[in-house]
Amino acid sequence: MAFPNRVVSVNKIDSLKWEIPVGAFPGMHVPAIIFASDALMTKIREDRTLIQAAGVATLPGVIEKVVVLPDAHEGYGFPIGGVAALDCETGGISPGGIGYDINCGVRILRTNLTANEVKPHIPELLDEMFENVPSGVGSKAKLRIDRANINEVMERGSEWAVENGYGTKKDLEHTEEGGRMKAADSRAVSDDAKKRGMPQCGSLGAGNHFLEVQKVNEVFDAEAVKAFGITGKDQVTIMIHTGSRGLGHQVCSDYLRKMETEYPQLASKLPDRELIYAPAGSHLAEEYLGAMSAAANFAWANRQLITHWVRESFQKVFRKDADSLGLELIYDVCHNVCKVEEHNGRKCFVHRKGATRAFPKGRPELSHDYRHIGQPVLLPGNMGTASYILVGQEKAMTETFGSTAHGAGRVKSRHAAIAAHRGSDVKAKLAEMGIIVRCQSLEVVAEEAPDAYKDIDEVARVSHEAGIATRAVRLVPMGVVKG
Amino acid sequence: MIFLNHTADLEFEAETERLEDLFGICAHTLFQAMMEEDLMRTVMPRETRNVQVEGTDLESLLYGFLEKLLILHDSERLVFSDFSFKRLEKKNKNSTGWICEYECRGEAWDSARMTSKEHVKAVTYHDMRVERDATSGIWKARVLLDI
Repeated sequence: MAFPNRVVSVNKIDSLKWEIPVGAFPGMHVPAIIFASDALMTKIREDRTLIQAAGVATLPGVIEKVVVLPDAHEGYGFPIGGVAALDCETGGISPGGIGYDINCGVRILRTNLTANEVKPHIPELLDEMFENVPSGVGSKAKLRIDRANINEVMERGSEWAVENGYGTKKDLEHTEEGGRMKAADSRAVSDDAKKRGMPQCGSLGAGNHFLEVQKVNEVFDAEAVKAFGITGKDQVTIMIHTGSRGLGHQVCSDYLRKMETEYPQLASKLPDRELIYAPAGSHLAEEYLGAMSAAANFAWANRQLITHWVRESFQKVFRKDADSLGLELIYDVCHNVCKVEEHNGRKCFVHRKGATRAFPKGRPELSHDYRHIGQPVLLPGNMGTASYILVGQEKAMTETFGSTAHGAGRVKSRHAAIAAHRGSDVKAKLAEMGIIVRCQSLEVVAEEAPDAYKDIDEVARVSHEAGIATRAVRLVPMGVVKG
Repeated sequence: MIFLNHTADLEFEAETERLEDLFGICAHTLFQAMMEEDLMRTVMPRETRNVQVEGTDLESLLYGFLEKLLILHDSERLVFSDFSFKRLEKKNKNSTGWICEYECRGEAWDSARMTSKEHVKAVTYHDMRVERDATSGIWKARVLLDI
């Protein structure tokens, strides 16, 4: 087992910033910088997050620092809730730095509806979305994706979905990368990955993936929310959280194994074999980038299809078309991905695992509609807790490679959560709070109990006060569909 | 078989006297994770798949076996509850490689009967071990499933 001893020395820099210095662990090239309050740091210390961050800092070509964000917890090799930038010439690309669920991400739609208008319809809306959007283990596909078109889905992502009638051009403008990473190469994706993905294109999955009907609870940044199409308190929004399904998971598995087979010497020298990477410039690095991008595009197509079916559900319940309901996509972000970006004059593979890009205003990558404001960043809470839209700030570019947190990481294991809660009690308590949950399994409801996760308000506060991505709006759930 | 306390994922340990049973228990646990506990008993043997894999060592053999089952699950919506041992042995006398073969019986997911629980994203090598206790001779496995 890697890192059986989880202790590594950490210095406090200020009330929101900590450092694992070079030398705290053998072979570190750069320090690890942790953005967390005292309370969140106490949680972070409970698992192997810190020592994993120190391990990442030993990778060749790692630039400046390894970043750990306030919602971090331990993961496979790299911690979840972290960013590492590896030089495009001297570094490499590591599947563990992206995660199994490539382009797990979130999107949020705004509406013209108020909470009062929607509340009486919540049970019907949830039933409709539960019927309309395949979810859960073994869900049957609505769409027939076969060998003839799976490659196109992977090469073109959201564009494919929109061209086939599942969205609008505006949806593409309001999606990170326009919903399509051009490095995608469907030839780099294995047959097993395609077999897993074909029946799952247009499905939610299970676990912590969800559809959530929300209402605006608090506005922090009036100018930003105006640009996002949010008019004020009690306005209804809809959040969709899912990823690349079996296709992306298989891509990650395939390339971890390929890299270990190709580079056994390299693997044996790493402090943790799970940090295996393909060196920059190698054919395997290029292949993985192509396969990862293809999986990312599959996830965007997935979220775009689900968006269409959510719009259909609202249209059916409210008997108005999507335009009249104002069902527009505010933004879609990914939080498990690797991008080729330039930071401080160096071209690098920026690995964001459980971390969200948070680019400031003026960046050409941003939609024209948001270039004067900054990138919307979505922090989904779990059922029973708040979600946030943040805005990327200039300080993120120097502090965190233009990144911030992705939500609220788990603090309790699923078994601990089930031991502490009965699903029926959690469901009832949420109902008392005015939140209706539609889920196949009461055990999953127990597993996803609010106290199984970190405090999202605290995560948002740290991001805000560290100046990397500031709070724009706080949203609270009205109804949740889980797989 | 027991589930361990892992924050985000599902980790389990299994132990038994015979190696071939160990692989069967791990496979059963993979599908047990996907549905509410009691429902595994209701899975009918309507479909049969012969699953054969090779590995360089016992860990990679178990990994490959579970991964093949996961691929069958996602691609054909199959769940398996019964695993008949056919073989598990060194590939040949001089080789370090292993091969195993199981006849797996189950059926397609039926949402009318089966309540969805965890979607298993991947079998991982994290903390994985397949080893025999030197004293007791008991075979033990530890597997972490990414969910």
